[in-house]
Amino acid sequence: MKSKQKKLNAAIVGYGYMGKIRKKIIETSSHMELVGICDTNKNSILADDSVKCKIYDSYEKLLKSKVDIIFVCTPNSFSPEIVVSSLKKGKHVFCEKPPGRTLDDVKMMMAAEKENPSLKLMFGFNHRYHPGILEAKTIVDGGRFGKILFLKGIYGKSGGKDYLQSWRNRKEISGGGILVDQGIHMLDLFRYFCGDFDEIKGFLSKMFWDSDVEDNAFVYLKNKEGQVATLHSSATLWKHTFKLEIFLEEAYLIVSGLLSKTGSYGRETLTFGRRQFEDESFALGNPREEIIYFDQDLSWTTEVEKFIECIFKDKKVENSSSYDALKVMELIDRIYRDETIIDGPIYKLKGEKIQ
Amino acid sequence: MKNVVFNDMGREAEFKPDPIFKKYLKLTESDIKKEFKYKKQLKVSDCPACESRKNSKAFSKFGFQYVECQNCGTVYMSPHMEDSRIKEHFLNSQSIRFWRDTLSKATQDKRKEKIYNHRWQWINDTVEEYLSGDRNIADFNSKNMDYVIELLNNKYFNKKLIVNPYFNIEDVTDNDLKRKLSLASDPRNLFSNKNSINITTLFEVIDYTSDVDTLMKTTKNLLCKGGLCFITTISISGFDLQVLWENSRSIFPVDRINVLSQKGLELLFKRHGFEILEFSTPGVLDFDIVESEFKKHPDLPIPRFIRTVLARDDEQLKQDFQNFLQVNKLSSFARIVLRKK
Repeated sequence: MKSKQKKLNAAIVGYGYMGKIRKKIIETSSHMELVGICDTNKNSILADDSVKCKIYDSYEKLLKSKVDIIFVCTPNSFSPEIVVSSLKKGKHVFCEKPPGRTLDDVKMMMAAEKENPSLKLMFGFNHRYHPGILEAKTIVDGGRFGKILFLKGIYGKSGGKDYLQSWRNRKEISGGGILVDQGIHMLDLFRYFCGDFDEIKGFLSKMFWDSDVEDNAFVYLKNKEGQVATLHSSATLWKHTFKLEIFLEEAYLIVSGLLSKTGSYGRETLTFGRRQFEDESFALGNPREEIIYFDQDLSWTTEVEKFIECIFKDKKVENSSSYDALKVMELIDRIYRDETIIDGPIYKLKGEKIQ
Repeated sequence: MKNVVFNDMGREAEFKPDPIFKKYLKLTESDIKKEFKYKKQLKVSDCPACESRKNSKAFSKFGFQYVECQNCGTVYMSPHMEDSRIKEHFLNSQSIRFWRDTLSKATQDKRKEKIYNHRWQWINDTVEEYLSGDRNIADFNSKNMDYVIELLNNKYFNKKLIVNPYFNIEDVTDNDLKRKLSLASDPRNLFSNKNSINITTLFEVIDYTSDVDTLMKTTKNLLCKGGLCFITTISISGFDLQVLWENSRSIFPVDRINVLSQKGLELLFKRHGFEILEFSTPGVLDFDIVESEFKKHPDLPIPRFIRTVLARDDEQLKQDFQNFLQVNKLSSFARIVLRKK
């Protein structure tokens, strides 16, 4: 992109964890100018000395100002309405995942997008741009190691002491539990590597946390090519874990760890091994592995830069598009509708059995 | 920037079997003393990595002084000989003849298995990731005829250009191969190939080049935009060189007149406008080198902690230790991929 291009006015709706991340990205971009932040809790913005732009307590007021892009960083129950209103007011929209709470939410946003074809809508599936994933995708797409046989993904966290208080675990706001919160990234990656899946089996459980959403999801998926993917999404993995294993006909790739602010998911690596058969009699099943360590996470920035590029060049959003959002929410919708709840004891935080 | 780590181990003896390598060193010392006895022909130089003039004495090898750059920690020979003299040494000295006739032959299979094959795989994988279309490669200043023969036999590349080889082309006995050879004896006459080359290789060439700056400029000029440069070298920041220092058998003229630090390597590549795509130290020999030197010379001034580790004589520990060196870029063998901006 040419740096001489006119800067786009950007604003943020929702100034929580993600809103603050977006603020940094906008401020470091040479293509955007942060002109407004909106939060119903105006004090949370006022408490931040680094905020120099105009502050709003209603997104409707913000939409009346001269803004080109709206970053929607609100809880899931609010984002669809804000996305639709923003598009109707002629703004480009970047919305955090998940794309609302339900499939209908996505369809509503897509309808507004269709009515405003000159505007761009992208959803925040930044994991596609993590260095380990980018490297793995390049290797897979290169085609030298055959087609993907299966994928195995584990993504989980320990919940944390505020787990029960978080809006993320209140169904009326979030629409679901760990699957729609974090597991959605892994499902999106499954689609990124293997395309759409048509067969799904899932088990959801409330094993530990006394909340109205699932704290564990075990999902099996299969597509028409016969490729299988398995996901374990968990809020009871006491060690923060991200691991995606990709087994190809001639090799395997394991993306493990995630570069993040706290580093709690461990160093991001990509392990690469080639299949060994008869010609490697002494090392059968234990091939020489290559482990790539990455030192920089540009996923947030890259994703937004791609979005800006779509706006400047009037290109169709191909990655993390509303179609991607729809397809991944279809999977989640099917899992939630077909769910088989594992009957198990539910424990309070200190391990006291209550049910 | 990527850092690549491997899970296998190596033994120095596989590549430098002791009695043969000792003889090679002895012959080299005698050659060097004979060929470079006129010290007036030597030239004092600035740091080949960061161009700093500030340095302090590091140690001497075969009577020649090595200094340590005060800015980036690079160790280099100063004063040093000119490239033309170095090339002459690689073309005609008795030690190099011994290397080709004896040492190289004795270790040929291991070198092919553990060095060349991995090298091709590395280049192929990286090229597949970053380049598309024709794969036109230029190898610079290679002193290793076996490697160049491997390159000429490699069908993966469309065009192969051998630039300024440090061995006699006449020694390539296979006439079919000779016919395939596209040679640029003088790197200054590369204009006809400008922009057609998208891969260059400098395998341990920085180590024995007196004018690193010109080498990097020539490489960059030859490459098309976005083209890749593959480099292997040994770095003074690595474990065995830091521990053994002047007692290291890996540093000696003229094979290693420059031993750049990691900081120095990064400064050099950035100064020449390259983007570093990969900087790894996937060495597998550091621990083994220190261990075998210590076994041969128990009075070596080795830190107590390292002595304690060596005394454990635990294979798993050795592997874990070497792995730690790789993960944290502390092995002395460095491999680097650069991209021309």
